[in-house]
Amino acid sequence: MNITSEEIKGFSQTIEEIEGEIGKEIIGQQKVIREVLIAILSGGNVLLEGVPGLGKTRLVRTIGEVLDLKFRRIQFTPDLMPADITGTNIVVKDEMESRFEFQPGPLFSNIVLADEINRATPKTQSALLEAMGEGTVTVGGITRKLPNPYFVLATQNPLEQEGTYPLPEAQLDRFFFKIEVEYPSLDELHRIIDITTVESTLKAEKVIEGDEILRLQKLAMNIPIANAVQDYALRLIISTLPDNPNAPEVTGKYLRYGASPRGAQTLIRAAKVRALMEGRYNVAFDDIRAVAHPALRHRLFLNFEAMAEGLGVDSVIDEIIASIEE
Amino acid sequence: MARRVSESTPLKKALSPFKRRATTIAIVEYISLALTLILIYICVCMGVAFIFPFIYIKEWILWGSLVIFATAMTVSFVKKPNWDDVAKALDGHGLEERIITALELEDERDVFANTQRMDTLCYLESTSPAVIKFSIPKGRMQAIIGLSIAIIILFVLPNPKWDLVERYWNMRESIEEMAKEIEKEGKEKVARADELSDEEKEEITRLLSSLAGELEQSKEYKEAVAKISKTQDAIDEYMQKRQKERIDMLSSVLKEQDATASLGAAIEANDTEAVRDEIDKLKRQIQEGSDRDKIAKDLSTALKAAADNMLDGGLKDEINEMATMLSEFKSDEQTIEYALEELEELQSALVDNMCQGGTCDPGDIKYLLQDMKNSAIGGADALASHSGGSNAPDQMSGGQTGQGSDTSQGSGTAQGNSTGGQGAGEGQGQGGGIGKTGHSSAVGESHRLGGEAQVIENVQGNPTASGKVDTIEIEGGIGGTVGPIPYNKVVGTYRRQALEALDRKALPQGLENIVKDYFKGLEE
Repeated sequence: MNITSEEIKGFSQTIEEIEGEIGKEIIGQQKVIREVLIAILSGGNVLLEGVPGLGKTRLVRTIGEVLDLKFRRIQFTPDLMPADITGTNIVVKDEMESRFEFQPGPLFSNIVLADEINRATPKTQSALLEAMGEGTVTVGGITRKLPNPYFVLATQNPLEQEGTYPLPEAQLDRFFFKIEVEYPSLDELHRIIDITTVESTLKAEKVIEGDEILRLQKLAMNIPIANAVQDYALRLIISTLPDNPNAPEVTGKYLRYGASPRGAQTLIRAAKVRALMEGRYNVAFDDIRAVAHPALRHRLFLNFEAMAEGLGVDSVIDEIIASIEE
Repeated sequence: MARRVSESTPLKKALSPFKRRATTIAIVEYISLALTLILIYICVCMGVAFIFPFIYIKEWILWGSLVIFATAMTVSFVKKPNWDDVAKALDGHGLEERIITALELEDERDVFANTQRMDTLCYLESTSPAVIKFSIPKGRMQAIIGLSIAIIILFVLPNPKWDLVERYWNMRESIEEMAKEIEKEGKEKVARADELSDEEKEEITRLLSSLAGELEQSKEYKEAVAKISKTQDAIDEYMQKRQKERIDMLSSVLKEQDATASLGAAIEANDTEAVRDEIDKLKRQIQEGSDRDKIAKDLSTALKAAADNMLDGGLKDEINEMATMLSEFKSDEQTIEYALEELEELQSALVDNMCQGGTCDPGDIKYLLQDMKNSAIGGADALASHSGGSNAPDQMSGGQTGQGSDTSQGSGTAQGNSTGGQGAGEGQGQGGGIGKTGHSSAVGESHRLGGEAQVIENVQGNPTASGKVDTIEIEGGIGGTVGPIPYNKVVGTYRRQALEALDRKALPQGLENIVKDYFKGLEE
């Protein structure tokens, strides 16, 4: 891959353009948008958590349009079967013969929005594992490759827990980021109402195509990171392990499980993308800290004591970050 | 570990001003640290000075501070900022790990490394070295101010120990002056001492110079007194050795002459009574004998031969003078009378020399040394009275500090009713009153100054005219073990010094005859 200096320098400009286009349809939520883009440019899947009506689906659809990617939405329900999302072999009859033909499910697109993923049964949820982890789908003994680039953006509602099936730890770990979608501010709400209650003339335009996304991904992978910064990131990961004797007090006190090595990979890859987005050609400590929350919040599991005290994962992550020297 | 960066790289050039500034700041910080430590150290020293007299406090503060400062500077040099430190400092000021990454990628030439490096250089160009700021910790500044105030308070507070320290330094100054005086005046006196040979002058000058050098190193009066005593002993020993050689040579030459063979034998036997008898015999022969011309001539020849073979100085001059006089002897009454007087003087000189073990006494020099020793003792007394006796060379049982002698000497008319005699190191006992009979109820420690203190009480003076000798054995004095010193070893020195004192008009008029009579009485 021949990458030029101009391409590297043009990365942040491209991102600005993408964010600008998304901003035409999504009011506020800049942080969410940026984190989703970081995950996409890192080649990772995203779990969006937020109450209904915050524009999660709209965001994903807009991203699909701006990135000129094929977008499919799956509404997860308890009766959703794996074949409903992966596709299945159906009998096709024509004049000559009858044969089985594979009918691709909604997973066969570039961006898959798995809406309310925690409402589906574990069986259906696990059907996503192969797609998310390997980028392939196996039906009837035949493995089929999913289109590239491929992203799964799942959403879940933190309020309604009745009749839901919480995602198992193994599946959570496959998500690159877990992004919390906050309620918009009053100003943002005004602007949302202004745009969505009248006929809108603003339409997000395509900025880049799938191949360019792949190129940006590869470009971001090569951004240099200093040993000291990488060491900082890894010390942060190790500090989340309750069994680590050198871990800060908060870890041992409130965490049941810490981050896996995949968490460390996520941290570094996301930090590289963020550095480029910031127009910088090296990873900084700030990049690590900025991506620590979405990268780790679904990889750290609080114990009973933390839950009893009403602590959130983010506050534990904050304390761990504060305890680590650069 | 510091990364090796080529000196000629653009990155290095761009970083140099920042490194210089970081180094300067590090040095300033170490200086502030050194200042804090020095102030703590001074506080401790001044606090200690309140507990006991810290004589060398200035030196301790000066050298201790220098050591702390030098250590801090050495550490600052050893731990001066390297490139990584500079990179961290700059990255912490908004460069967001650009520098440290660029340093790591210094040897890389791929497009990412080049782009990152160019970006870093661009940022460095637009960054002032002043972003690396001087930052002395607030706590340290507070400590410096607090310690400075504490030192001022400690300095202003009256410290009773300062007085002792000041006295000590006055003592040191006094001892140094003493050393200079000994060096200067001693040489002059030696040069004027006609009774000494050139060799003796040279040796005594050397001893005095050595003493002056040692005194300059002395830190206490006690030490100075000991050194002076030691030099006095060394001079005495040397002079005794020389005089012994003279006496031995005199006796051997006199023995070879018929006229003086028996006198030579008496001298060799160190028998003063026999010497007196032999000279009395010669006197009678000259006075009464019919062949007095021959006797005078033979005696002149023998004495001339003896003088020719003797070492310079001391007895030689007297013997030479005697030989010359006898060579011109005529049998008239006046000459006989003169010859008898000369013989009497020779008798005294011989007895004196033999009695004192052959001391050709450089009186002025010994007087100078004794004077210096007395000054040192006086200074020690003054210091002791202020320091509660800690620096006192000795103490008296009667409440007075005394300069005792090795031998307390009591004698008829000269023995005074003294309560605190003061004597020279050689054992001169000097009573406060003269001519009265009595006894001392308390006498200063009779020991060599600087030694272990001893108290001697009830030394009885002997009021008889015969001049009976009391000998007191003292141990532990400076200059080695001091045993009993026979009367005949010291009386010559006493007599000579007394006569010298008379020459210097050191005694009031009217007392001169008493002194002369006293020593004359001793000879009888």
